[in-house]
Amino acid sequence: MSRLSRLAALWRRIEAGHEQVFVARWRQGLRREARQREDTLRALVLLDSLGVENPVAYETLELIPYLVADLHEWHRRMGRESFGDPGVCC
Amino acid sequence: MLLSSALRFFGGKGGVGKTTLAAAFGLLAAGEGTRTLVVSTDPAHSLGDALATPLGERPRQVADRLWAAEVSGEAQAGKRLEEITRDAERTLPREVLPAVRTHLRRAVGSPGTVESALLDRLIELTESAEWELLVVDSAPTGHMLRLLTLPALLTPWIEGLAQQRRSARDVDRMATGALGSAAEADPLLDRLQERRARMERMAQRLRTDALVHLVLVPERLPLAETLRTAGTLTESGVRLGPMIVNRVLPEGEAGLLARRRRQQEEVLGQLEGYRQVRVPLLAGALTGQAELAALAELLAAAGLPGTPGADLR
Repeated sequence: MSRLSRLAALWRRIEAGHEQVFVARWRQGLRREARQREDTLRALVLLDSLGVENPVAYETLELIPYLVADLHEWHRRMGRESFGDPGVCC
Repeated sequence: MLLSSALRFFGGKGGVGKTTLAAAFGLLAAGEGTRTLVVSTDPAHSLGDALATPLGERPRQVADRLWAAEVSGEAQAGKRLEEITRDAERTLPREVLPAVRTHLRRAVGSPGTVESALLDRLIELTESAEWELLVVDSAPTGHMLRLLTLPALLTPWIEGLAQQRRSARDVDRMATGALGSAAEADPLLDRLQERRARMERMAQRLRTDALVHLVLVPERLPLAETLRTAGTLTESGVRLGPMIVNRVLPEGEAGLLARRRRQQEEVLGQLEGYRQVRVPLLAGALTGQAELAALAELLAAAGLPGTPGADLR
């Protein structure tokens, strides 16, 4: 193996390591944040099901089908046929 | 073309004659050539009685250039619920539909829904190009205040939800490295923005095109409420038109009526500083178009112009 290709391989290993250690962690953090924001939105729109008065319930009626569908897709992705709480999803 | 002040609200305590005056005003405006719709939003409708004709949710022509309707928040909420459910049934997997229905029903039952729905209906009507002037015979004071301040209240809330959705998507795109690629359509965000824009348009119209006439009779309790309401409305940026003082007793009466007249004078004295139009106590029953036309003439004579462009400042 030439010196150059050894160097290139080393570079790739470093890069992969960097990806694993930093980028993956960074991505994970971002995904978690995105999920949290989505959960917050869902909670805000579905406030009524938590027993909290929702001042914009009427204005956000159209969002409910989408949010429930999102939730459904999510619990299916997680490998659960039903959500467990029948009031929230199937 | 829509002129300014194309929205007139008639508000005040129950039983002071809002409906009759709103109907007469509508008749006056129609008579002056303005295509006018009079809408009652009071859950206890009496506009149909005033016009001596049955009315419903859909505007009905009752005279030349004059339409009338009695609208309700419940009906509007029901209509919207049906539309959304129908859309959901078309686009969503069957197993989520029961949950969607439960959530929708709960949201519609939420307090405040009826008022929001009523406002929604009014926005629908103001955005129709069919009428140049919308006269709203509104429910008693509390309801009207809420209706008028709702858009300013809800707009930032809806904006906050849209912001939440937008940042969730941005962060998600960053995580998947898709940042910079063309943003895909987000029906949820689109709908939020649509509602927000609609609410903002109404808030804007209420500030620029709406005029509120507070109706009262010259007695102490209605006076106190009227002054409070005038203050609240001015604070929230809604323009006040002349107040309408209804059932003012004529001078030159004797006995009991003379005593009442003196009490009225006291109340009227506290209204100084407010633009006002006085309507005398009338003998008639004031129902049906002929009698309302007489009242409309009185309003015109007292200086309440019917054309929406008329400058009342």
